[in-house]
Parts: sequence; C-alpha cells; structure tokens
Amino acid sequence: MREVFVLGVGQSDFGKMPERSIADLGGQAARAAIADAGINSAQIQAVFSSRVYDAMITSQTIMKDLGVTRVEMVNVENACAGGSTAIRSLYKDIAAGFVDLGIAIGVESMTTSPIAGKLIPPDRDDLDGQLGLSMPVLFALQAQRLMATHGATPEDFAQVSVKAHDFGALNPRAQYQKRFTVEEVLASRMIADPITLLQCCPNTDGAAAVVMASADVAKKYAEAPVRVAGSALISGDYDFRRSDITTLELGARAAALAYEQAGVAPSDVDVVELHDAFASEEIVHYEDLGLCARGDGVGLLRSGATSLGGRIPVNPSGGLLSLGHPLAASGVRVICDITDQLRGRSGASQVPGAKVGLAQMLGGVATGLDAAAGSVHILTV
Amino acid sequence: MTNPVPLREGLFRETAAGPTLLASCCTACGHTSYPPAPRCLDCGREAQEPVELGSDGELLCATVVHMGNHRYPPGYTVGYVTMPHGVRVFAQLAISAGEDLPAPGTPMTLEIVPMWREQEQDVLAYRFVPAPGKESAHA
Ligand SMILES: [Zn+2]
Repeated sequence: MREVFVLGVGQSDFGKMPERSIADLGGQAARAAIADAGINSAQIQAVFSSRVYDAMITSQTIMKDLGVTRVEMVNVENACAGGSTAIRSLYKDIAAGFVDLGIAIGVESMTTSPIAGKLIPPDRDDLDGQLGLSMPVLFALQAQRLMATHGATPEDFAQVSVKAHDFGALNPRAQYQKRFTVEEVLASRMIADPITLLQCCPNTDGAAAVVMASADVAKKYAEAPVRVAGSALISGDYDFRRSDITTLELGARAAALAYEQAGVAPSDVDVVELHDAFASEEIVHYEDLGLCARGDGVGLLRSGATSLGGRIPVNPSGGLLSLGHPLAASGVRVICDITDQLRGRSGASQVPGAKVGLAQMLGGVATGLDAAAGSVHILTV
Repeated sequence: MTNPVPLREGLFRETAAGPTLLASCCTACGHTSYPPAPRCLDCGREAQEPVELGSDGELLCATVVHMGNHRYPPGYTVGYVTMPHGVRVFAQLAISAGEDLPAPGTPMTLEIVPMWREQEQDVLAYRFVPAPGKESAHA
C-alpha cells in the first residue's frame, strides 16, 4: 500500500443559500482545493463526490464546469458520513496505485432538500422512523440516558454548544459566528428534551473538497504535505450487541482501526473535529475516541480540556453546531479543517504546534443498528 | 367502515392475555430478535422459533418531541422500553401533554392502538402506557 497525502483543501461559503446550485457550491470548494494544491485541474485522475439529497451525477455536475472530463468519477452516499466515504474511497484508490492524484467532494443543499426545516428522519420505510424516531429524538434519548448513567446535566450539554460557538465566533466561514451563554442555549426553544434549538446544528448549504495525491506527486507540490496516516470506515453493528445507548460503537471501532494503522495513541492526538450535530453526543464521542476513559466524558468536558487552549481542543472550527452541517459536505470539511490545523493556518483557533489531528464523522440511523456508518481519519505532519 | 390495518404483519397481536410483541428466538444460541428475523442476527443460523414478548416492560429513558411531522403533532412522547429477553424497543409512550416524563425504571405495559390514518384506514401500531403498580416481568 502506498502512502497518501492531502495536497489541498477548499470550502464553499456555508449558510442558507437556496439560490446556489450544487455545481456552484461544489465548484467553489473544488476550485479552492485545486488552487490550494497548486495543481492544474486537468491533472485530476479521479473524482469521488457525495451528496445525500436529490443526488445524481454529483461529480460530473461539478467538474464539467472545471474542465475535468474523461476520468473515473464516482458518486457515493452514506448519510452524514458520505463525505468521509468519498475521502476514504479516493484514499484507497491512491494507496492501491490506481491513480496518483484525485479530488474528493462533499456537497449539500439542505435548504432545497425535501427535509428542509424538518427533523431529519430515517428512511421512509424504517420501523422506528414510522413510530416517531428522528435524529434529534435518537440523540435526546441518548442524552436522557447520559443524565441517568453519567451524571450529565442539561447545563453540560449546553456547555458543548457554548464551546462550539466560542470557536465558531473565531471562524469567518461559520454560519453562526456568534457566541451564546449557557443560559441562552438552555432558554432556546425545546426540540426534544433535553435538547434545545441551540444544541442542534442548523440547516446549512455548503461544500468542501480535498485534493489527495501519492507521495511522488505530493512531493512535487509541497515541502511537507499532510499525510493520511490512518483511514477507517465501518458500518454499524446491531444495537443488541452494545451494553447501553451511551456509546456509538461503530465510532469506537473506526477509531481503533485508524489509531492502529497510524501507529498513534489517543493521547498523541493534538486536535479533533467530530460529528456534533447535537451537543450531547460530543460527550459520547470523547469516550468512543478514547480521549478519556469510559464514563469520564462529562469530566473531560468540565475540565476545559476540549476548549480553546485546552489539552485536546475538539471542533475548533465551530463544529456542526456553529459552522453548520451540509450533510455530505461535513465528512470532507473535517479533513479540510484538520489539514489547516496541521499546516498552522487556522488563525485565531489554531492549536499551537498541532502535529496529529483526528477527523471523525458518523452517519445514518436504522432500526436495530447503533448507527449506519462511522469514519475516522488520522492526519499527521 | 374499513378494517384497521397493522403497520406491518407479524410484529404484534392481541391475545387472551393481552397484547404482545412477536419476536423470534434462535434454537441454537438463544438470541431473541425483535422484529422477528428469518435467521438469527447473532449467530446466523436459520432455526428460529416464534416467541411472544408479552406486554410488560421497563422504561429505559424517555423524551418529549416538540416538533411534529406529517404523522404526529408536536408534543408526543417516545422512549426505549426494555422487554423480556433484554429486547430494547423504541415506541411512543401514552403520556398526556403537561404530564411529567415517567422515570427510568417505571414499569410499562403495551397497547395496540391506531397511530395514524392512511388511505381512509386506521393504521394500527403499538405504544406503551406507564403502569406504576405493575411488577415488571423484566426486573
Ligand atoms: Zn443464534
């Protein structure tokens, strides 16, 4: 297997932009990533794109405006982990030697999707979905359980959102760029107890893109390119196999695979970007990623270790809560933000001297599974 | 009047002893699957026998959903209920608006009710009702 490097990253604007097409949003991100990589778009040998809603020939729709034709283009869907799946797919093709240079793109127009302004449901025919389950409901029930088993409080969950918005206020790309207090978060409209509106990611349109290359190509364009040291994608397991709903075991499994491949321990990680579609789930991910011992997620949050200036800042981009969550874009966007951190380009939210970064994304829910898709990538310089 | 239709076949039924969820139990490893599975989800073997989970369970956790959807108006309550054989079931809970959420561990009992209407027919499904006095079969 060959080594794979991130050569360039790019993001579109994030926000509510129903007038902007997929080609427009995706093109903005792809152009930015290509320019960042310092390559010519004609050199691109493979394109992997992901979109959840109204998806059809996403790669071709975007790349035809960039002069890229007659190459292998693949379009993937894996709910919120679709972008990670595009990254992983391109990674594998470069590692295996099929191509030397390619681009992965995630794009979503949430404001024009069929679920705009609604609680994101499972598949139409899903049993639990028919009985009233949706994404916020799933995480609200998990939060209820965290209060019973972990001593978590509504204030703890609100603090995750406060932290995200503290970071997001420093990120010019964030949809919110506004700070909130714990009281303001708790006083916002209740969605599903204990989750309030300001503990839910907003409806966001946007795109992200990453140019990746083999070592031979990468060294021509960058002195110290960011290496993809670990890459994992795994499907969910049966719910009956987990001891409690306070873990999403597919996230822990993906992390274990990525740590092993990268040869790093959780304690080596300097910065993390993860799926915080709902504030309370971040505490679960701390434990599943091994950032703290099982049961200590609330303690890690309260210690400030995951805040700006802490031992292991989590979601310095502002996360899905502040930056926004264009579903399939988020798995690519976390790679962009970790890459920026490792290159020292993250401005006010830069983690000083970051050398090892972890990008996680989870997606999808179906009756009987803990979740549908979990992905972890570990990047190093 | 047309007859109500079940949400899907083979999930639940009324019996002389009350409503029950229908599951499958693996004769090889003993794993119980709900909804019933044609082959064991744990060991993969095909020999499955039908089992009734009955109607008694225990609440794991609950939440009130304050946004509605095309089937349910805002303010409905849902939760996970632990049934016999350790089966964890997601369902709505029969709690009236303004009533406190039942505490984890509260005994719950199953009922089969029309949940919504579709093509002029009631669609039957299940939900749980708090039964504080009842001894939980699971506990
Ligand atoms: Zn079995």
